[in-house]
Amino acid sequence: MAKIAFDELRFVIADDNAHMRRITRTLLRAFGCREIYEAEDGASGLEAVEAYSPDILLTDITMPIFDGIELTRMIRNPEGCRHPFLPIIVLSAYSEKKHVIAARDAGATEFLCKPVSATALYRRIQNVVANPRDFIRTKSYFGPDRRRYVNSNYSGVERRLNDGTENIIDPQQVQLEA
Amino acid sequence: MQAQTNETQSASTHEVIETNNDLKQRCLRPGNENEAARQAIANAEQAMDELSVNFDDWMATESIQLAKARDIAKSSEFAKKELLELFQAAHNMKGQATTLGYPFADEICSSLCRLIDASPDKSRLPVELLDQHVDAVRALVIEGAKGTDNPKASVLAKRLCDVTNEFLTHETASAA
Repeated sequence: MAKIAFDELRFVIADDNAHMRRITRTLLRAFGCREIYEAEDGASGLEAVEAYSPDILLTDITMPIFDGIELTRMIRNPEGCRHPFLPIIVLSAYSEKKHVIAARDAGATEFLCKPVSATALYRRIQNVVANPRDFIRTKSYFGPDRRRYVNSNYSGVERRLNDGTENIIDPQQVQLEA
Repeated sequence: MQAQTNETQSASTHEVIETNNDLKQRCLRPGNENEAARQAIANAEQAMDELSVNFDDWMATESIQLAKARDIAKSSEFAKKELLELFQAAHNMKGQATTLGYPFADEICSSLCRLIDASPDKSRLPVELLDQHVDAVRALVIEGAKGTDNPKASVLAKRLCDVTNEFLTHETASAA
């Protein structure tokens, strides 16, 4: 049993909506966070990541300049960003499966659908801190292991052998909490 | 502050990189996890209660922005950029209306987003139905129609969703 020392965590919040940033900041401060930086578009989100070296990035998807999916891809590119292993929690009103999968395939660590609740945000942060996943690099992907659960009975195709394209989606084996 | 690469296992198709997670070592403390979570979440809910005095004003601001985006989109005859901005204004409201206490505004904005996004031919977007969505959101905010216990708001939201679904079904069939 262990509790999270939120006062040790540094966050960047990237969201173009000032009200949502205020809500997210309020929740984080109530958890005990002290260092929280804000960005209002994808470009300033990337700058904030480089400038403040956060422990966790919370990002919206829809933002000006470049969106949260592109921001995630840029951060996961070791040649373009100094923090390719940064835990990234995507917060979005896009709850459709295609958006969840797009975020996952860009390298997001967690996905949280808006409206954001205190409980859901807490659980995502807890997961990031206490249950980190290994990173995987293939020809087409760099990011946290998308296989959260190992199915010992799985007897199908090994998709990582699929020429690195990894386009086959099997929700039984690849799951992302929504 | 970042996780450092600890160990790499290479295979011909992929590389597994075990990260030496600095967060786990630095930010986990001995203590009762469940009690800590309960307390943190209770604190956050209390903070949101205190913040909620602003929510009606925020909804008013957002709904005015939605109406402006609608007006601009209409005057541009739903040009691509202006239509995208209307979609984004509706999507913004969809993301926060429930948090701000207006779940039916959330439903109406979801319907509006679907109407714009799923219409196969944007030139055939029904202006009257777009207007009804935006005006309904404005009305809910002006009337202070908060929470889920509001029969008129419930009927309004359901009707708009139904009409949107009927329109999209018809349009999709026509486009096929």
